[in-house]
Order: sequence, then C-alpha cells, then structure tokens
Amino acid sequence: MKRIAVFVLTLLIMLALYVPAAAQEATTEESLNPIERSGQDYLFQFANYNDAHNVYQTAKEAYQKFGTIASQQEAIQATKKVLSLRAEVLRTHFELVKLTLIALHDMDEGLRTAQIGKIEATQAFLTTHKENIERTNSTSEVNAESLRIERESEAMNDLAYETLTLILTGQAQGLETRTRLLLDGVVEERGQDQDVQQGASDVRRLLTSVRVSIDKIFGSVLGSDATKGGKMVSIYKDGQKEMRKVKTTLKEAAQLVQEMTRGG
Amino acid sequence: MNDQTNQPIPGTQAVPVKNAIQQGQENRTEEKIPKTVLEKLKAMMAKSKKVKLIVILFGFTVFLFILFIAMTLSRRPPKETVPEAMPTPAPESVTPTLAPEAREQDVDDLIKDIDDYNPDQNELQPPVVDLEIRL
Repeated sequence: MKRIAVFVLTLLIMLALYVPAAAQEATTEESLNPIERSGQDYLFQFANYNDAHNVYQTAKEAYQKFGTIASQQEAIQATKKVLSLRAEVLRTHFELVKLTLIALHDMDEGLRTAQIGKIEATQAFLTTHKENIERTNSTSEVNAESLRIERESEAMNDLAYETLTLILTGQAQGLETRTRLLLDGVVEERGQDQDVQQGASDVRRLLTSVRVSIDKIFGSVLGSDATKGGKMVSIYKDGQKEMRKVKTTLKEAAQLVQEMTRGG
Repeated sequence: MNDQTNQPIPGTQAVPVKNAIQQGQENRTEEKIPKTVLEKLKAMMAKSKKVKLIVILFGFTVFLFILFIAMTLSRRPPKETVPEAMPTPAPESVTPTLAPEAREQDVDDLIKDIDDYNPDQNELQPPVVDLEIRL
C-alpha cells in the first residue's frame, strides 16, 4: 500500500511539474505574431528541403550508376519528395512576404490588394504543382512536372523581388510620414520660435529628398515592362542602395525633430 | 392544583428544575458526535493512516485538476489570426495633438524604428533552390 502511494504521489508531482511547463511552451508559440510564425514555418520547410535534396542527389547517383528498377523507384520517390518540398519552400516564402506586405501601414490599398492577388495566384499554382507531383509515377512524368517550375521560376523571382521592393519603400515611407507628423506637431506648438522655424525648414528639406528617393524606386517598380524578364532583381538592388541613404537622411531629420522637441 | 403537580412521584427524589436542565446540557456537550463531513473525516484520519493518505492524494489531484483547468483557460488564444486587410490609419488625427512628453517619447520611438529599419531585408530574401531537379 505504501509503495503504491509513493508511486502515485511521484506520478502526480511529475504531472504537476509538467502542466505549467507545457503551458509555458504553448504560450511561447502562441505569443508569436503571424509574421514570425510564418517565418518559422518557412525556415522549417527550407531545412526539410535541404535534407531531401541530399537524399535526392544520393538516389540519383545510385540510379545513374546501377540503373536497376529498384534504384529507379528509389530515385523517383526521392525526386518527388524534393520537388514537393521545393514547392512548399517557395509557397511559405510567399506567405511570409505577403503577411509582411499586409502589415505595412502606409501603403496604397489598391496596390496592396493587387500585389496580394498576384502572390495568392502564385501560391495556388504551387499548391496545384505539389498535388500533380503526388500523381507522378515515372521519370518522364517527374521531369515534366519539375520543368513547370523551371519555366515559371523567372516570373516567380520577379514577383518576389517586386514585393520586397514595395515593402522596402513602404517601410521608408511610413517612417517619413511619422517624422513629418511629429514635425508638424512641434511647429504647431512652437512655430513662433526662430530656431524652430529654421529647424523645421531643414527637416522639410531632408524629408523632401527622402520622398523623391522613394518615388523614384516606386516608379521603377510600377514601370510597365519593369516586372518582366528578370529585371526586378536589379531594381531591387538599386532600391536597397537608395534606401540605405534614405535611412541616414531620415535619422538626421528625426534627430533634428528630437532637438526641437527637447528645446521646448 | 399547583401543589399537586410539584409533588414528586412516589419512590423518586425531587430535583429542582434548574439543576435538571444544567445537568442535561453538561451531558450533551460530553457526547462527541461528529457534526460535519470534515469533522467525520478528521476523526477517520486520526484513526487510520490509509484514510489520511487517500485524503492527501485526493486533495492533491483536485489541486492539479484546478491548475490544469486554469492553465487551459489562460492559454486560450485570442480570436485574431491574420490581419487580412489592415486598414490604413488616418495619421493626421494621431500626432499633432500630442502632449510634449508624449511627443518626446514618440520621437524616441521613431529614432529606434529608423535604426531597426533594415534595407538588406535578410529574413525576406527569396530562397535559393535547385531549379534543375530531374532524373
């Protein structure tokens, strides 16, 4: 009786320790926002893809070396798996980019909706592709299905970089708007002060240069033929360069606003 | 009439009424009859170790059950999931009316956000995958 009691008591203590630990673990996972969760999902799929790619390479080499039916079947299965995971990596990446775009505050609603529509269409294509992979049974079918992604890869790359550029400029635009609004607040309160007037003029000049840079990149993205033929990567790289300068200018403007605010 | 009723029954001793009541009360307090379940349980626990152990285990189980329920309720997620279409805020209505202290805080937050702004966007870069997978 005593032994049973000790056993039951130990079991209950272990349960008591497990319940809060499990709850804490679950809470940590739930506390992530949708973007963070999506980012984790993407990284997880990418890790799975890398593992599957190693298996695929080994199976392909064995098939090329021995050419037996068994090695062929193994290679087909390994290829199907890596193709499916490749599609999943691309789909989860688009999901992450889409959620980041949705979270942008200062963005034209029409433009955002149009971009989300393009992303969702691509995600639907990837899902269909994944379903088709499951139905393939021979090397020719597997190769044909893989070719579909190869043909679409450039367009998908363009879409990804186009969205990234919109996010890049959108975030900078949000910071510019906030700086301008804070400046307006200071001017409204202490506009008579000579120093404030001078400071405000300097900040406005900096913010105008920021706006010009943003508009320039924005215009390149929306250009009619810009999104075709893999041009988006170079536009994106230019955008990154431009936005690094914008960051420095914004910081300077914000520091001036800070001085004006503290000066009161 | 009164004289008759106060007469003792033949063969017994007459006791004053007041004393009889007091004696009755004393007898009653001496009887240790358990009144509540808790008291009964206490009495049983004092008698048997088994019962004591069962009561402790039962109490502990109830405690764990309550703990589990509390944890389950506390981690029920909020209803929002994905902000499908985030409304663009009307910025004009936010900042200009701020108090100076609040504005100072806002400027500090802005500078922090500018510092956090990363044009490299490392975490969003498109994945590099093998595009020529075939047998």
